[in-house]
Amino acid sequence: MSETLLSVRDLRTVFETRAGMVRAVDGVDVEVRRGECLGVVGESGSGKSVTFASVMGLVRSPGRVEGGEIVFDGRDLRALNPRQMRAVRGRDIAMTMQDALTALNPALTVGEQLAEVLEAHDDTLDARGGGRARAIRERSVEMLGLVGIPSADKRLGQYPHEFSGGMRQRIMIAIALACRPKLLIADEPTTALDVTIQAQVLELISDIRRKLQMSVVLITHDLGIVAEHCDRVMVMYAGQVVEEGPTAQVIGAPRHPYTRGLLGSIPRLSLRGQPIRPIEGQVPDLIDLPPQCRFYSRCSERVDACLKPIAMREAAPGHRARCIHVAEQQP
Amino acid sequence: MSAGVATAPRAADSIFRQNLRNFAGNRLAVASAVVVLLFVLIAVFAPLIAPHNPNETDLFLRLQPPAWLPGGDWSYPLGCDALGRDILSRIIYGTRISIFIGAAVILVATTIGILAGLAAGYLRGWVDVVISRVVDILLGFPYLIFAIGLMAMMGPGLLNIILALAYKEWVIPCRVVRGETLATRELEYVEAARALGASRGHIMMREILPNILSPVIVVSTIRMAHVIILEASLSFLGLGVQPPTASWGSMVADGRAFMLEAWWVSTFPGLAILLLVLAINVASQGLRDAFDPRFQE
Repeated sequence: MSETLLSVRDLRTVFETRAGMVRAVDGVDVEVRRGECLGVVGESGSGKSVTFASVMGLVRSPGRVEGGEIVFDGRDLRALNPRQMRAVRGRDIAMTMQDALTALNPALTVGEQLAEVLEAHDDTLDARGGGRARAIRERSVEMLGLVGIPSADKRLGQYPHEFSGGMRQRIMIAIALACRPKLLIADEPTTALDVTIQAQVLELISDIRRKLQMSVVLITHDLGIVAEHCDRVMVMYAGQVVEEGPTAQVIGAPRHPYTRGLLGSIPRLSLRGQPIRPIEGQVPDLIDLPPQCRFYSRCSERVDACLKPIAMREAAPGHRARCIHVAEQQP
Repeated sequence: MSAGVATAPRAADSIFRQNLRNFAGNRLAVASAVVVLLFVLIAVFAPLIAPHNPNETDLFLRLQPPAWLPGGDWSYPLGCDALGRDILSRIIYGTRISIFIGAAVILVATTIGILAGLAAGYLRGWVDVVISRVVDILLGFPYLIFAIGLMAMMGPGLLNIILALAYKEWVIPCRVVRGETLATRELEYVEAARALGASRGHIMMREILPNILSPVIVVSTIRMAHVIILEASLSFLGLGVQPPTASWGSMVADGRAFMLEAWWVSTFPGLAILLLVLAINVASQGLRDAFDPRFQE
């Protein structure tokens, strides 16, 4: 069994719009190792969600995966037919949605929604004695207990609107984890939650990751969350990976000006009284991009050499950035 | 860790049941629903309620007036028609035809409409193009003329009336379902179901359908009143249920020739149509107010 669970090479996903071809994901490489937590950061529209929607085969028309290689647990996901891909989704790779308040079906009880995933994917249930329905119920109670919902047995018959926001997020995690996936993709799992609940939910995900020994991809735009929960981090900008490496190195010694900009725009108590430094300018239009460095127009360190396509360069072992200044130690 | 966010479990209460409670608070709508229910009971128990055989003719009773007019008789409360048949009994039996055809057409049309609307709204692409164009074309025909044409082609008969009306009726629920599906398919829980490996059929029937059912039920009940009028119109024109079977529409037609000397032959079946259609309309308005969040304060 290799150490790499998910390996994406040169992924390109495009959306054909009336205005032209939008290259939402342009040559992205991702590697997720077994049992690790990978943080993916970037602002809205940087392609982080689309990258993992592509991995799961969830990109819908007018979008399509144009090229690249997606290997999960030794299988080439792009070669699978829709039926095989459906079997992978939910059983091997699960995903939780950004907004737990709307990601549960309001017309079905929580128990029904849990049962449906188990029904669809879990082949081991047949083998157990005592009838399939009871096995599914037991497993549902077990999953709700795992995510810390008290008196789970009673709450299975309730509808999503009878739960609070944090509880709904937990239920969504329970549904995602019902079939013990090898990889959980958590797409901004805490954006819609109160700060206190955020911490609980993230702690829960980390906890379960250790318990079930699964890998987690945490998509977020909060570097604080990444610093606390992720082993490695990948920073995306305008459809490309601009920096990746171990969390401590990327946050402690960022090598790409964009990462530094992200870190600089976080309000800090230690810098009280000083203005927050936002990154000037706008994300470039993803239609008809010039071949230059994507960050060129906003970069404070641009030079003429940046007008050529920039490749990822190694800064330290396992730490790479898409910047020609990588070798120089920046402040 | 979790004790802080736990809330005490309340009794399970679905949105559907809340809506029903809203409906129960609307007195006029409940009264109308009771009237509709009464008509249904009359239809079911017609043989027990009707004082006479609806098809028994007696020329001595020809055009006998209602009981309270001179020459009337309480054993024929609403009088008799040109063949001496008891009008009350014929109205009671006619209820069967109106309600049965109304319900059957709505059932067939709603089933087809839901399936076609879900397919068009969820699958999109060429499926949507084909279904939507067919809907547009059918909407272009005047309803009654379309049904008359079909009846002329297929010939009379109960099944043919149902088919002739359902042929076009399905486009109404179809358009509602398609519109609601288009909005619902973009919601996160549908995306979440896809991410969990749900099949297209599963998403359409389990994720989307239960959430769009309320407006479909409301529209279907409103349309049932229209279908009852259409059936009466077809029967009035002689294209519906064939004599001697009693139908409100054909009873109105029977009385046309004697409107001046025997007004009751046409009037009472006409009033029956009016009362049932009015009751269905008011009840379905109440349903709409209760089930559509846009009408709730």
